[in-house]
Amino acid sequence: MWILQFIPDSYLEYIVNATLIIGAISTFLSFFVINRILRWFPGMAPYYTTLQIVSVAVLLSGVYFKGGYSTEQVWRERVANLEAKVAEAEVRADEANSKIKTVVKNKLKIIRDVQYLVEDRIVERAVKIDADCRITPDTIGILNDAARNSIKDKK
Amino acid sequence: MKCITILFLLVALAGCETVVPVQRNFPKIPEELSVNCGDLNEVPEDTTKLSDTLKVIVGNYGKYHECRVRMDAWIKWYKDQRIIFESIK
Repeated sequence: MWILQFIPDSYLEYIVNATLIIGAISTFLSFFVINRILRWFPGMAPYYTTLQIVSVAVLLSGVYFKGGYSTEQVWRERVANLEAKVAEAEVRADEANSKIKTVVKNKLKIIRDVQYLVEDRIVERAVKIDADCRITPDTIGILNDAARNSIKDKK
Repeated sequence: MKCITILFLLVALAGCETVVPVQRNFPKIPEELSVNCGDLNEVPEDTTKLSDTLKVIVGNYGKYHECRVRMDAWIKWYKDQRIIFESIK
């Protein structure tokens, strides 16, 4: 059925319907009206079984292609719908991405701005802060252990 | 004649086979979210000043806040994309 994808719809429908109608008419003629035909064309008598086989084959091909064509059309419609939905979803996904990008950028900027302000305050008041308090190596070890999330010195 | 009929039936059944050629692309995550949180800063071991220690601690707080923003954004991104993904059926 994949070959049907390469044939335009209008040609396809025409070919399928023609095959079906020719098959139906020829089957009817070869099975039910054959005696009257042979009366007019006696030369066809030796080929009448072949004629029946060919007409049945054409009819079956017509039925087969008609079924295949209908299924193909249904699938093409579904594929088109799905492609439209996928395209719409991609646009929505891009919109969601750009919104998140903007929100993250703004929040990070605020965090960094606050960081600078706090660091400036530390620099401004460093003398006063350092005047009353000295940090011992133990304190630094504990802080760094917490930062690394591992115990360097267990003593 | 029977063989021909069976052959035609088999061919007719093959008509049911159809491939659906719809391709979906997984949405790309924003670059802002694909950054690692990184390690926390450590206090220089030779320092005795509280102000130096404070700077490192404040810096680490800042790292945490940045990481939290990215993590929250990741969760929101996943939820939004899942809703969009599930809307296609």
